Amino acid sequence: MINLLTIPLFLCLLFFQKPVLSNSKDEINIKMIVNNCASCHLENNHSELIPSFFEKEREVFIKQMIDFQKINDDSIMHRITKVLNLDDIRALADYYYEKK
Amino acid sequence: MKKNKINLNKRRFIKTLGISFLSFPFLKGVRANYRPKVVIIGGGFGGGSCLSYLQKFSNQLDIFLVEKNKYYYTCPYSNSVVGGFRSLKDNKFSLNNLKYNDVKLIYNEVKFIDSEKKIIKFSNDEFLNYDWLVISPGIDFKWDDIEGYNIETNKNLPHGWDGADAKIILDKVNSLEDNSTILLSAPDYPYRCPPAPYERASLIAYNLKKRGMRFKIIILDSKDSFTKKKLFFKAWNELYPDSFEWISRSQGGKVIKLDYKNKSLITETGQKFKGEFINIIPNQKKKNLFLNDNDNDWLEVNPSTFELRNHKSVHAVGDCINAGDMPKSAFSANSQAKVCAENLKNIILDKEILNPVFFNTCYSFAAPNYVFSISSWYKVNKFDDKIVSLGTSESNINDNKLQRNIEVEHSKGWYQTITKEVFG
Ligand SMILES: Cc1cc2nc3c(=O)[nH]c(=O)nc-3n(C[C@H](O)[C@H](O)[C@H](O)COP(=O)(O)OP(=O)(O)OC[C@H]3O[C@@H](n4cnc5c(N)ncnc54)[C@H](O)[C@@H]3O)c2cc1C
Repeated sequence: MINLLTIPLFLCLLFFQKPVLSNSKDEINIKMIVNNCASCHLENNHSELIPSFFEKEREVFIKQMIDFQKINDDSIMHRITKVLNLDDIRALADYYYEKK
Repeated sequence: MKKNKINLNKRRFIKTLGISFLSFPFLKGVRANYRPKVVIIGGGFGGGSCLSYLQKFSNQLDIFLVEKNKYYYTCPYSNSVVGGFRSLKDNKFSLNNLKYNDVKLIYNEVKFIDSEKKIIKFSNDEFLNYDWLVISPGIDFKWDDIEGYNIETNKNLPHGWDGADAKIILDKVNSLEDNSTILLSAPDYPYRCPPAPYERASLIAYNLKKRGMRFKIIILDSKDSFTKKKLFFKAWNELYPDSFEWISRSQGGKVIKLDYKNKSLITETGQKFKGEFINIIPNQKKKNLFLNDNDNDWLEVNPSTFELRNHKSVHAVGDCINAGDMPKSAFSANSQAKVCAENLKNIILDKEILNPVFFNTCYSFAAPNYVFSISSWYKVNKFDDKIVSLGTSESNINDNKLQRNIEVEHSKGWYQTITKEVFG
């Protein structure tokens, strides 16, 4: 028998679940995320006003993305990174590091 | 759109074949060395971004881009021209022949597309055929929604919703005298760049304040709210106190008539507003290029491939489509175009269609050193095949001057990057 409490609990969980870009490792091909990052962080020809992702060390990139997630300041990078999970961030780091 | 009949003028058709060097119908698997022909219509933010991404496959595809104008004036940053702190020529671009040396750029105006015959007809009666077509022709206007306002009156009172007319609006603002009233009529959703009417109002205010004028800006709105409203209100109170009045639709803000002679706007509730300068931003709809199409305001697409629901092998991105939760912006058009290019290539080369994700940010200037933004990621909802937001978020309402200035740099950086990516 379903415990009557489980229904509201399930609804609560559903409601408060943090939105994420990919629910599993294979759901979103990393290229799709990279293409969106490229609106500002292009491989070549990016603006001098925006830091390049292609010059960063892998670990530095991962740390910076996690820091952006943590600092809840509504900055553009916080808003962008807050829906990424650790797998996405690692895959992005691998992508940029390989292109370095 | 007028139902034109294709008159297959043999001479002109052959001439077009000449332009397009390989124009046989696509027969999958029949000729191993056949290069599928992809044509893109529109060299703006959607079409140009698609071209830039598809170009990576130019060794496998014959790629054409059709654009009616040699020069493109960006709408992003056109309000800065109105504000008097940017020159129109800084917004002028053309597709760089060096970047696009392996694709064919055709400067011609499309009259209509016959998607059954896979033929594009140009205004000068030439033809071009395609195997796959991507369109991003932008928007058209609903000229019948406001009595007395039409294409003719727009010549003297330009809406400025296409980038090039920003200088005309600047000249009109520059000619205003002290104590002028400016009336701005904001359209109903959906329309190109939701925050832009309010950015325009802010930068008209900046221009007038800088020149020491007193003024009143009345925004007559066809909506009951607008994007980044709290941020705009805060900016107006801080930068231009007591100069703004926003009248929502339910307060009687929806404009239904222009009295051009008396420089007045009349709203749904019968109120009459008089102004020394009037800027009407009309309601909008898709630009229709099809020989046979329905009367829907926007094109309906499959959000993973951007193929049109009612025209096979035709894909569409940018402002002309219903993109679910995504606003009509250059940022969105660019994001959609990349997904479209990726999955169109996958369709043509018989590869797996990738699940898309999209991102958009709209930056708005309230003054040259005062910018705030709104952004969101988007995914496709598997249940109803629509693009849905993962939650929009805005700049912090309490950000200080330094943070508003940092967003100026972000906005400029984004603009420099996207224009380099699209135009080369
Ligand atoms: C005032 C204002 C400010 C804005 N600010 C921003 C901003 O800060 N950030 C942002 O992201 N977006 C902004 N936008 C929105 C942005 O400009 C549009 O969303 C974007 O241009 C849409 O791209 P598109 O490819 O759909 O259309 P467009 O960029 O308009 O491109 C359409 C192209 O198709 C061509 N074309 C049309 N018909 C034909 C034909 N029959 N034959 C051949 N060629 C044809 C046109 O010449 C044009 O080059 C702003 C808009 C306005 C009005």
